Amino acid sequence: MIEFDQVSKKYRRKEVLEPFSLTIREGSAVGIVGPNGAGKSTFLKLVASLDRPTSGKVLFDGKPYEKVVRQVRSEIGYVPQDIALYEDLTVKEQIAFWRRLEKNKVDEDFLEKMVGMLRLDEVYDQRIDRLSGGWKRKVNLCIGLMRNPKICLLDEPTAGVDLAAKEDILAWLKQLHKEGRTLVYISHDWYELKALSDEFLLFAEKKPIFQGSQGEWLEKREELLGRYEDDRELRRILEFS
Amino acid sequence: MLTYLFLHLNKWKKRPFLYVLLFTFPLLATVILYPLLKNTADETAVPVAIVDQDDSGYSETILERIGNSERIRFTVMDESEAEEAVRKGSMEAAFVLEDGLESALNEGDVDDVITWIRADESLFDVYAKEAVGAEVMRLAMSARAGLRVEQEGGSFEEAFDYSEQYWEPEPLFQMSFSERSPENQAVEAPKLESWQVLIMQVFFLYGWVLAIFFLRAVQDDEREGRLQRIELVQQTKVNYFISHFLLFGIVGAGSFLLGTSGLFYITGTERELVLAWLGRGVVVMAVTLFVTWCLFMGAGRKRWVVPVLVLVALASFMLTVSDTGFTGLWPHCLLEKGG
Ligand SMILES: Nc1ncnc2c1ncn2[C@@H]1O[C@H](COP(=O)(O)OP(=O)(O)OP(=O)(O)O)[C@@H](O)[C@H]1O
Ligand SMILES: [Mg+2]
Repeated sequence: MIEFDQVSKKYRRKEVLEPFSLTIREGSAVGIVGPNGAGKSTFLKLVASLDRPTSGKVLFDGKPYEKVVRQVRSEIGYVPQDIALYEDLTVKEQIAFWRRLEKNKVDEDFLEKMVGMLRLDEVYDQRIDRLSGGWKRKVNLCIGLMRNPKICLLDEPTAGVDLAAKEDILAWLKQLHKEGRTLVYISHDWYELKALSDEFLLFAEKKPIFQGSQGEWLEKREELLGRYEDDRELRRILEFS
Repeated sequence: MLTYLFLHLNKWKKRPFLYVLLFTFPLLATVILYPLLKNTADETAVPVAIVDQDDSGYSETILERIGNSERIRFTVMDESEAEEAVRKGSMEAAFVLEDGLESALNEGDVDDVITWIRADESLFDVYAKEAVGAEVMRLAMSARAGLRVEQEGGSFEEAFDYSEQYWEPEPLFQMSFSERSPENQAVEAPKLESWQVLIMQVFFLYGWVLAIFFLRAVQDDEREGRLQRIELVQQTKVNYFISHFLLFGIVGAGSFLLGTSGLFYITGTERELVLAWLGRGVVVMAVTLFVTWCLFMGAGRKRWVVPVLVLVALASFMLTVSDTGFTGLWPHCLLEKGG
């Protein structure tokens, strides 16, 4: 279980997240949605322990992150929004490199299955900088999850991926969730969000303004629409759900 | 460490020529340029000063004949000027045609009619010495032959013997020069030539700057999110930074040491000097790179840090070499003080 207790985040003087509190339950699948710049990626980085809150506390099973940072990092798999790969390595070299760095024991079966699911063997010997955007994203996803983590943090993992591959990825993630892993997933695609999440988290205006199940979402939707009438981006998100 | 080394080797392997060239540039420059420069130095005329104290027909003949040589460029000076020029190095050597040269040659006496002034740094003046010596011998022989004929009493054997004597026990140049160094030239322990020190300074600058450019790899990893990924996978960034510090050191010190060793090897510098200078070079380089790394980390690895560090390196080199007084703790100064 991960708890946020009055957490806020500033970059220099710019406030990106206003103080908020929320909980991510173990084994849940949280779909995060919200307008551009709302602070979703920043939130996910805080969950991943890759950034520190400006104020407030993040707790992992009741213990502050600073105290258990190694444990947190051993349980988390993070797929960043930006492709974070060595551009001049081939896909094969890339996988080999990240495996060698890995502190956790790599589960060969898991890795093999994921490579097969993403069909990465088709581009095994191609350099990353020669791949198309969608392929890069698939490699990015593979590297992020190859450690078979208990908690999967995914920042728009399917942006730019073709529909067939997207379907495969969704099915795969669903499977991971079923096996008991926690998923926290950012997307702008309601189809994906609905297929995957048992909980929605809506970010707007520098903080989460809604967290709840799909049923609760439907109940609250009209109220939110009324409250944020002037916010065009947010209204579209609500209307499309 | 090895994982990161392989990573960079892998990257460098994609453009092997460029990166090998970058790393070994000082070495290659030495190996390729030194022989060329040496040849041109050999081929250009040797500048020597001539002091004509005899001011006779013979001394004029000597000047005239030396003037025809393509490999000697002489200037007539008085003795003190000539000594000064040799000391400063603007002349390789000076030859004083001593007073009484003409009469001595007529007597067949070729010893000590010429004083040869040279400095320890003089390299190419031996050729000039031979040329001057040859002219003196020629005059002496001709003079004696002429006298024989004038006296008419000589036999063939006698004239023949006179000529022969100048070829025994070794041909020519057996005349003794009185040799001396310019005054005030302190006798010093062996040391590097000043141009060698300069080249070493250039290589030091090169290695330093090359290492600074390597820091961009670290900045890129951080900016493009790979460092965060590593932080998660490795649970800490410590390993990454230690490894990259070591690689940074290998890039800078390696390139510098390769170049410098090559320079010492090719110029046949004495072992003792080589060890002393390399030792000093390694220490100064290590301290410099360590401080550079600390500045880089301390400044938050920001984009502007790399150009600023390059400027610092350039300033260190320029201020030291131009010797304008802003010396002090610049690495290049510390390196130079080794002499
Ligand atoms: N390292 C940083 N330094 C300064 N500002 C930052 C930094 N990272 C993010 N921001 C700012 O924080 C705000 C939130 O960014 P964030 O990436 O979390 O948005 P997001 O909700 O993920 O948006 P998107 O849907 O476009 O991905 C933005 O205004 C962004 O400019
Ligand atoms: Mg984002």
